[in-house]
Amino acid sequence: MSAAELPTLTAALAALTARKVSSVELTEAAIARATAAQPRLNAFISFEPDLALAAARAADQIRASEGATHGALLGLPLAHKDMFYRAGKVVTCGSRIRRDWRAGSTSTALARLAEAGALHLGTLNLAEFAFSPTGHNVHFGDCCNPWNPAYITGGSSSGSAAAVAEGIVFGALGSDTGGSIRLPAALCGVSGIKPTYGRVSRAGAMPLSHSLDHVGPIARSVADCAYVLQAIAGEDRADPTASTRAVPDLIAALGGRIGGWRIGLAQGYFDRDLAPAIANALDEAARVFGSLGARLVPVHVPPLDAINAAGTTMMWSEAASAHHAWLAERAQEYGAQVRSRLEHGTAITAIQYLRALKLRGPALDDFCRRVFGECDLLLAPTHDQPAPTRADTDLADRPEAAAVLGALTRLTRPFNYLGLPTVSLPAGFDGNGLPIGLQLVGRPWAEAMLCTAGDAFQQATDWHLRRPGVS
Amino acid sequence: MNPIPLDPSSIVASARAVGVELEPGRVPMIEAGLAAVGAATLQAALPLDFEAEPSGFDRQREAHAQGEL
Repeated sequence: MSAAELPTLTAALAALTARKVSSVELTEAAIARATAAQPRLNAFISFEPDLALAAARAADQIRASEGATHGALLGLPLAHKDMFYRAGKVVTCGSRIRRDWRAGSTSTALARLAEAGALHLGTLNLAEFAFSPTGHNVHFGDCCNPWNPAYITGGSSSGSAAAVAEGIVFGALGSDTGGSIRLPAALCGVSGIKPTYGRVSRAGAMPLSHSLDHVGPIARSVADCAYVLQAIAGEDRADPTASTRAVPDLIAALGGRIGGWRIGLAQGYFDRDLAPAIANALDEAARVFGSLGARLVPVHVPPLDAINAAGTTMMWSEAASAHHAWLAERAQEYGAQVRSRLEHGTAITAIQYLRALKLRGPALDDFCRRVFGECDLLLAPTHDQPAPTRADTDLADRPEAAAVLGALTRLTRPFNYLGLPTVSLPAGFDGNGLPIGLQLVGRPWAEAMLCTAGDAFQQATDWHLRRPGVS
Repeated sequence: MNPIPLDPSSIVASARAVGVELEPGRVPMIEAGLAAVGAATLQAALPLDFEAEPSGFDRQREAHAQGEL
């Protein structure tokens, strides 16, 4: 199998270990794919093929050295959302305001990937300041869905999902404040993990809403995500919100059995107004989990509209706080939609913000008692409607934009407020040929269970192996 | 419950109080957005204890970490 044909990160690692492929070959294939796809997808903001190739040559030398120790991801070409700081490098955050801004330090997540030996091919497109769920970007151009460029990728980690789905890179970092890892992963037909709040350091990742921001991987499979998450997770002195809790062995969790596990079939909030194709995908996924020995348990999920309202209150307030100086002095440099969304936050009072913050603990307690008293993992759709077109969602600051954008993330935002770990899995296609994604949600810190269950699902299905233009 | 203000003039005033000048033409989307937020609804769903602490989230996260498998 040639470098260009290796389907997953884990397959590439196995081929590297067996010396059936070199890092240079993998990187050359990635460069060729990126170059060919850029006019159609616009997934990259910056591209560093020469640096990546030089690093690949060095990685191959290390692997060729008998007895040399190296990181788990040595020689794998990755690329990341252009909001993770790298010392001395321009990090645009998808914005005009930071178009030429150079970071003074390197984010913990990127530093840990570098320690693991991963290569850096370039930076990936995103919504301006990661503050939109569609993938539109008025400054750098929209990122387009590899399955059909007329449709949105989902956002804000648009380039991460598109580059992985296109087979350019084996994995990419994203950030998720309201669904920005899971929604693009779902709409582009790849896997994504939003870990428990506190599992991954946000140091050196552009803040949007510090109470809701999560950093995590997007990759072809859950197993691939596990390798990336294993490399970046864990305590970090640079981020006081990063938990000191030990990180479980996520790689060891792969290949496990789920016989007897209780998979909750979310009813109520999550099966409201589901498109038929998504409802069918959900039913089929439940059947697969049942065939793997899991017990399927209907679980009535409490109404989450109120939780979404509180989460939005926090997101808008914190985003407005982070952007306050620019909003007052450089408002014209924002795109109309991002500017309008940031302006929302300026009208929310401190009392309203603090009440939303204080309700987070009781809301988490209420949700866990009601849901995880009945099941071990909750199965729910990632989105309730098929992927919309870019044209239909190109709303700038029109009055209907708030409702349209809010509806896109209705099923993902609750788990940012609750801080619960969630994986999005590809699980089918809609009538337009665009992918459908489903979520598995776990208790706090249950990433290992999510990896076991998600990997078991993908051992029994092939949705994650379908590629644009092939399936 | 005090809902987020939907009166455009109060939104403009709130923004001005923190140094942000809103253009009148931009207010309609703000209205729509704030109406969608309805933050006070959570208060109705989960009455807030007067003495509830913001740190309660961290405690609940640990309290519910253990599974029943």
